[in-house]
Amino acid sequence: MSDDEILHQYLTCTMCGFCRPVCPVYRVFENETCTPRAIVGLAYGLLRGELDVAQASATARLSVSCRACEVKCPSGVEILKVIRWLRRSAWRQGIGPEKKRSAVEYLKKGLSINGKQPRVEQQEDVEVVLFTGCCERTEYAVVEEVFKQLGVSYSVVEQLCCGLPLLLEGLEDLLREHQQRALSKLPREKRLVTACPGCAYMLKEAGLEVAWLPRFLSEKLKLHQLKPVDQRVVVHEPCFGLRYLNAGEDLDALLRQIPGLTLVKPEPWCGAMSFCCGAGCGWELRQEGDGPKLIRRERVNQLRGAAEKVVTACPHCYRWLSEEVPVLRIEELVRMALA
Amino acid sequence: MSLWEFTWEERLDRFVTELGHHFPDNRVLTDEASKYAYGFDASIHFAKPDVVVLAETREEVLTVVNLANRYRIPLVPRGAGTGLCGHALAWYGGCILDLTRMNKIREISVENKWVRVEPGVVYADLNRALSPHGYAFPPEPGSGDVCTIGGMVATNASGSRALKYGATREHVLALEVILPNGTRVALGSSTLKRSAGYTLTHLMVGSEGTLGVITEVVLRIAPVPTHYATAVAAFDQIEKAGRAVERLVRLRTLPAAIEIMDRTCIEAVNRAMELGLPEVAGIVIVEFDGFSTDEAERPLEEAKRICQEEGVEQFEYTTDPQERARLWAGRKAVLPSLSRAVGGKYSTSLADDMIVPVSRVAEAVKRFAEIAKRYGVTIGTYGHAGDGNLHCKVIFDVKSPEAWQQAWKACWDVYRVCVDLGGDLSGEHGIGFTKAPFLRLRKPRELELMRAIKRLLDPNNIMNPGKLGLEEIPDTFLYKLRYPVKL
Repeated sequence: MSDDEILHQYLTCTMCGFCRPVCPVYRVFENETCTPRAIVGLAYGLLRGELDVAQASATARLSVSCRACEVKCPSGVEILKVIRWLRRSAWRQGIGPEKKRSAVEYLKKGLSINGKQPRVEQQEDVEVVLFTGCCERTEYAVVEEVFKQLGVSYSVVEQLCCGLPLLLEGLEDLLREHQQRALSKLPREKRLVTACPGCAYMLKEAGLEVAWLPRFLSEKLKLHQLKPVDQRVVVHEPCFGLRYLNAGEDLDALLRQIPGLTLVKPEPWCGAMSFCCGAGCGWELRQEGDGPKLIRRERVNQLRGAAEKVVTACPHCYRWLSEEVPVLRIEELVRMALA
Repeated sequence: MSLWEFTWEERLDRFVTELGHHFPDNRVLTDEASKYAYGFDASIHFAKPDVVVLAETREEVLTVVNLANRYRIPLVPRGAGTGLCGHALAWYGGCILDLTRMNKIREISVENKWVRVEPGVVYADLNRALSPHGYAFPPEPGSGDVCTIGGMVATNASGSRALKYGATREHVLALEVILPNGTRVALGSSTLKRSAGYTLTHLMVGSEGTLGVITEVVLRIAPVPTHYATAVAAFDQIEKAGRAVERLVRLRTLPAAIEIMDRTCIEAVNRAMELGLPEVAGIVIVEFDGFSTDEAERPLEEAKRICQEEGVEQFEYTTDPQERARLWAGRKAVLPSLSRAVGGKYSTSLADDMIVPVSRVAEAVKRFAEIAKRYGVTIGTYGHAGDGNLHCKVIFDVKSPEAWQQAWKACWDVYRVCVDLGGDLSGEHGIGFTKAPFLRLRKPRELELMRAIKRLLDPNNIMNPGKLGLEEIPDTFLYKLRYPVKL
């Protein structure tokens, strides 16, 4: 994003503050400086030379990229673009958390953000390619089990980064390079399936045919007889599934297909305004400070108020929330229904 | 050594140092980013404080007020910073006292019909907490999801429901206020009626933080209607819409809300929210509420007849809660949606709020459009027509000094029209700094009396200086603009 575009965003922002109560970072720090509108103001301070990069980008670096502010903004300010512009300015000056820096270095070397070698299984006669992104294959064990139950043939691509971290840090040049290099390894003619909504978003943006797991399972379950799953669960809808991929309906549809299930949503923090768990598709856990933990606490309180058991459809949300509260993966519910 | 032998910097330095003795580091903000962030509110201005304090208790507020008074540091109480006239900005620097962490609902007393809250409670959160009891604090400002009760009291905020249920002032039963000299006073009482001397709560409501810091509010609450009927009437001439409003207000069943939007606003909100409102010269939204279907829907027939007699093009209504919610979400989003109105130009919080007699609403809207044409700016007008409370957004090239001068002239004419029509400068947003220049359009005696009260309660003028025209009436609002323009 150019300086002129940032100025346009700033001038478009009326500073109405509608973004304030929906921002998880503001809600846990309770400091105006953390609000999306303030971040837009701080970007202007940097443009004007009235703030230096470290000052102007401090709260943009705390963002969990959940995009709730953009959904709420009636003026259509592209706040995430402003955040990425500030983050990119910080990167250029060597400012940023070590955990993110080392991950980006790995990506430059063609490794995953965890420093692992990507593994691409080459099998011609499979129906789909299961894309695990930066998750371990073990985290997809239930998905593989369900695929077998459903008779879905698949090969697996592991530890290949979808590029989301580079997008969230505003490193557009690196992202382009990465996508050319890494994503070219993927079989173009096969449909990709991933449980991570961040990966699904990035792969879709890169022009690949991809299905987020809830959509894929929903399609498949139509052909199967399901048993009732007598559970009362509160749904944690992942930010990236809702506000990046715009696929909240896919998750709802899958949950509605499972008989016997009593679904609860934590009003008002559900649907388009679903509250982030703090993980930011796993990437934002690499930032400094307690932000993600405090946000998780806030989210867990909202979920606990609604029901005992939580269900989610993102491996990062699952891993992060599980540290504090029992969580079911969506595929576990499907397995129960197929048993 | 007397205080006046210290320089401003020395006094500020001592003030901040002493704050550090009472507050943890992360609640006294002096870093550049924080000062910059608190330099904005929803107005056209930018003014940085020297320090920000995040208070959590009334005792902490007391400490800050005492220190500010001792060192003569300007002190600006701040809620969510949604004010449109610069009320929550530190016009002369000094200290912003952020009260949003004081957000406890202390007591809900349904049997006595009141709620006792701290000033930082968000309006929507309060009503969510009251909802299980079937009650609400009704004024419903457009910024209700964001704004705080303290800010609402300080500006006598209201919204679409004020027509039937009254503005904030009508609901304030009691207040706890820290006066500028550090005295904690309890004003009013938690009773539904009172006749025991001056109503000093009313003096504090709308005082914009110039007389003290509000630390507790007791608000009258009202039962929430169970049934609603909401109609949208589309007119091809704004005068017809105005005449309809005039007659709707006279209905035996008072509508819960009567809103008006001109074409500029309709187009903007349709673009932003995809509402599909009819894009005509003006629409009137009229809503009835009650505790039965009959109570809410019966008056619609008469409302429709009135609108038909005034030449309505289209009259549709809904009782579906989701459709109603969508409609009101669109209405509340008019103000920021106008940012998308004109390519290359931006909307500004100018002429944001004015009030005229209900019978003059149509005339006012028409004259605002003429003013816009005269000065080459776009003005979108909307508002709570049922009580004569109108809002505008002025849209122009904010990077052009000439455009700003034209906008200033347009605003001057807008307010002159309002005063000429028997109205006033603000119905619910307050004066702050932006509207202070227009105080010279009003009779001066009232302002003189306000200044005398201010001198009595705040002789050192520490509380929110530069607002309400209390020191002097500025010659223009073209000061400390947040835009990239040199005037």
